Amino acid sequence: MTAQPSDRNAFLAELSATDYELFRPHLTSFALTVGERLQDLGVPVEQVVFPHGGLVALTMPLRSGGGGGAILVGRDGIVGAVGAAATAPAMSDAEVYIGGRGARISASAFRYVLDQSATVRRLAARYAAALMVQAHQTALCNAAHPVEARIARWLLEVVDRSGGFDVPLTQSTLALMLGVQRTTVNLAAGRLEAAGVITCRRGYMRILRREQLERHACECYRNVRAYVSHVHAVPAAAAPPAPVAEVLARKPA
Amino acid sequence: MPLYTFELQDGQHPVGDETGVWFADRERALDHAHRVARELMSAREVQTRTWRLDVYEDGSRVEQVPCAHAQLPQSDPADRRGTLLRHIERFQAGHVGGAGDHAGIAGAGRAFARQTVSGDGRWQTHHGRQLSIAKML
Repeated sequence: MTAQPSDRNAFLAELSATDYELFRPHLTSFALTVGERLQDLGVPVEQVVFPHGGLVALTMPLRSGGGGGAILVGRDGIVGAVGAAATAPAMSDAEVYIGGRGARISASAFRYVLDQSATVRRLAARYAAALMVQAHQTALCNAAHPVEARIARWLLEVVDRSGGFDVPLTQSTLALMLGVQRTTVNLAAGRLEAAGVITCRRGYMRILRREQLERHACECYRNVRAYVSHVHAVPAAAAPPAPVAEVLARKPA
Repeated sequence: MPLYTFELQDGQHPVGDETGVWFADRERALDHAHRVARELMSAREVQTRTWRLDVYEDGSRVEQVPCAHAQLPQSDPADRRGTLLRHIERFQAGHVGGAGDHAGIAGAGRAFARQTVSGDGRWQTHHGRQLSIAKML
């Protein structure tokens, strides 16, 4: 039974009323501010964050000052759940890229709730699986796909979470997420712009033809989307769905 | 410090990066251009082999960076070529065993393809035999 409003974080919205009551006393609402760090690689996780909106990027830093390999978390995900559950250090940096609202709970309270409910544990494991599939797919994507296809994928990933057709990210931010030079993003995005798929403005990009952008995107976009949809296809309390391979093997329409 | 801007010539529409980057000297700007060219052609070497990146210093073109040559291995080319040719020779001699051999041949194939688009496609093996792309394919 889904008892929570749909404008909340998807994980919280998916909880039954009983399970939500386990969380409620420990949850604090707060503003996700652009540039805010929610966790740092290697530092013990002290909080679990449930974004209601906005966008958080999980990235791996480099000693040279750069970084990349971003995984995006919006209202469809959780930040810090695995580290908190395992009492382990953060597996990546987490930084707010698009502002919004969120709720947070201390890591110890999160572990307490997990101990109380098998359905919450199962649901949290599903969100962790969704995060892992993004990580795996992104590693493959960075190694195997041209930069334009990766840009198209990220633009779709961002608007899927932020809504609308505008991507309020600079090309420098996109370059950081993709682990490439800003010049590379400018030139590759310029090719998409010349094809009439997007427009680039100072501080944001606008998607003009989403279907064409999906055609430019690599298979990674569809694969992650199919997996995540599949994982969330049935309530956590229900029997497991059909094998995931069937979903991933389906050819796009 | 000059401002360097870049324009991609992909055979369709010239695409410019007019924001540009400040570099202390031209050498660093060209290093940057080569890196950008490598990133642009990564995973589509054949499609981009005719692409070119023009480098402008304070608005005046100073260099044309061909993308095909930007992908050449940065490590010692002789070592890479030697490793690659050993794999090819083992393959041709039928000495193909476990998963390690298959992975080596796959890696060799990728390097071979990259070399093909940026070189003349003709090498000499350790045993003195000439290998040509045409005979391999």
